[in-house]
Amino acid sequence: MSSDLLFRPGQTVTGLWHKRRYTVEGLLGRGANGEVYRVTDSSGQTLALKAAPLSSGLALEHKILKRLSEVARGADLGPRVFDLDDVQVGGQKQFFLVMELVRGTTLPAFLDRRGRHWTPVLLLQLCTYLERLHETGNAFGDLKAENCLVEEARGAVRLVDFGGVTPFGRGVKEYTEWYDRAWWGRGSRMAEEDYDVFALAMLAIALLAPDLRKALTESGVPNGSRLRQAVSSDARLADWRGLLQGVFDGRVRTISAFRQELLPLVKAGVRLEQKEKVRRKPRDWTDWLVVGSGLVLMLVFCQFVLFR
Amino acid sequence: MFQKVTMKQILLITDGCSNKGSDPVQAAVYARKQGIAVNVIGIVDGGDLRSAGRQEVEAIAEHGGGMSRIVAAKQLAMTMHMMTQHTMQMTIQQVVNRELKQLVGTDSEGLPPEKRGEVAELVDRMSDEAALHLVLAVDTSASMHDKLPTVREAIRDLQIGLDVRKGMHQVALLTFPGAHGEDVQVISEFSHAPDLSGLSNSLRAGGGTPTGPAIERATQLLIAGSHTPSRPVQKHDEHDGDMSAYVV
Repeated sequence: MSSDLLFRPGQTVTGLWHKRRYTVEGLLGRGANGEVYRVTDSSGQTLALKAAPLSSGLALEHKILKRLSEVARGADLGPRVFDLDDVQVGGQKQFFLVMELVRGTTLPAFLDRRGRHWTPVLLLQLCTYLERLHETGNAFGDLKAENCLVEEARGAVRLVDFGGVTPFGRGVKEYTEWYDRAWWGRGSRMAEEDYDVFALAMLAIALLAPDLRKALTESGVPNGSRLRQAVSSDARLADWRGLLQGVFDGRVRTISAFRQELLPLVKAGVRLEQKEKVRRKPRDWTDWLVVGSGLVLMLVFCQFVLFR
Repeated sequence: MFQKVTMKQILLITDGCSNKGSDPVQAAVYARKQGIAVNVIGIVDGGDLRSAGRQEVEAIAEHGGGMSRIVAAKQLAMTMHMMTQHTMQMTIQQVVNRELKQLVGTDSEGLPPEKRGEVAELVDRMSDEAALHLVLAVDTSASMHDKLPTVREAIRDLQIGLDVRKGMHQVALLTFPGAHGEDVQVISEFSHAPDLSGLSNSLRAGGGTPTGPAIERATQLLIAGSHTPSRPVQKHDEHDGDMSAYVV
């Protein structure tokens, strides 16, 4: 299999069926199942184009995204879809799906800037998305930090890759080991509500204590007892202990139960944010005072030196 | 009719070029003629997978009607999952395409893109319900030595994925070369959960890489295996009936 990319920047992609034209601007990412490009359409709108050598995966993703836009009820559940078409590339047919380009910051970067106390707020939003998705009879499957972006201005989370969405009762299509309960030996790889709940718990740990993931997966073999140990002793997870242990013990198995356990953490997070805001304001003002007085001192000093 | 479909796959895991016995590409061509898809994973860390090895990996898969990937050992589990999944879908897609051609005179790609979702869903479902016969052929030449624990872990992981399918699966495991200097050794016959214990015991220093004989043996196993009753033990859900009823 060649490692060359399908498209180059500047190239025009014309759909065989709908004849819409897209100009490729650059590669956004590539995975096992295809490549995603940033493109512009004929009206200059910037979009995301996912290309793959097989039509079925894209056709399914298109179907599920269409379905989600119907049940989203105002929530930005999935990216909006615009086109599904074929293209001829070097004598071979390739398939593509054109969607809204979701812009935003990655979760770790967002939390680094705004503070870890935002974690419960982000997870709460994911709970809402997952609930809507579950109503359609599907699990998200590959829930992970890399599949979420935050729109900074609103602090709103968006899910970006729906390739892992799997009907309940079937084997999960795409998964990532750290988030996969089967990998940890804590259940099957069946698409069920609690499969996503487990991934949510692992997402919390990955966001609150990022170094744990590396430490616990280094050997390539899951170490469930060290995971439990970390959850019960790591100071950063102290407030989350009840929730996380609840998920591991099977006490918290539904999104609504997860949400119940999450709410006190959200409240604490909001309180902390308000405090931070109050604390931040006067400090900004005093900062200016320090800088200002420093400048004055320097000017005085210069004058002293120059006009001596 | 789809219940009678048995998907036959060989998944070859190697980190080097073949240097013993028959030509692996010819063996793959033969396997393909028997309706078997040959997937190949080349492992890159350590070992001697130079460009000749890479080319061979690609050539075997291409002639065997399967896929090939060159990956690091830690990506092995994911790659095995993805390949097995993809290949099952491709096999069913071919069956469905033949049906479609008879019914509406075109295959899935001849349908307008937005109409393919239904077909894709059907294919998805069929490949979950059809029977799978899989032979894992693991290179156990000297350079693979320290990767075998990872391989074992990856096979266990694949097993977890197969266990949630509705359709039955039978997995056999063979190593090349074998523990006693033979080219190929079947260390676990077709079973629902292959015995992996032989995978570490079958180690020996040195020995060539008889990839061709391994593919030939895997092909024999699959041909013989398909004569055993292969009707899936269905875990019936409420709308499980005759699957041909689902076609269009």
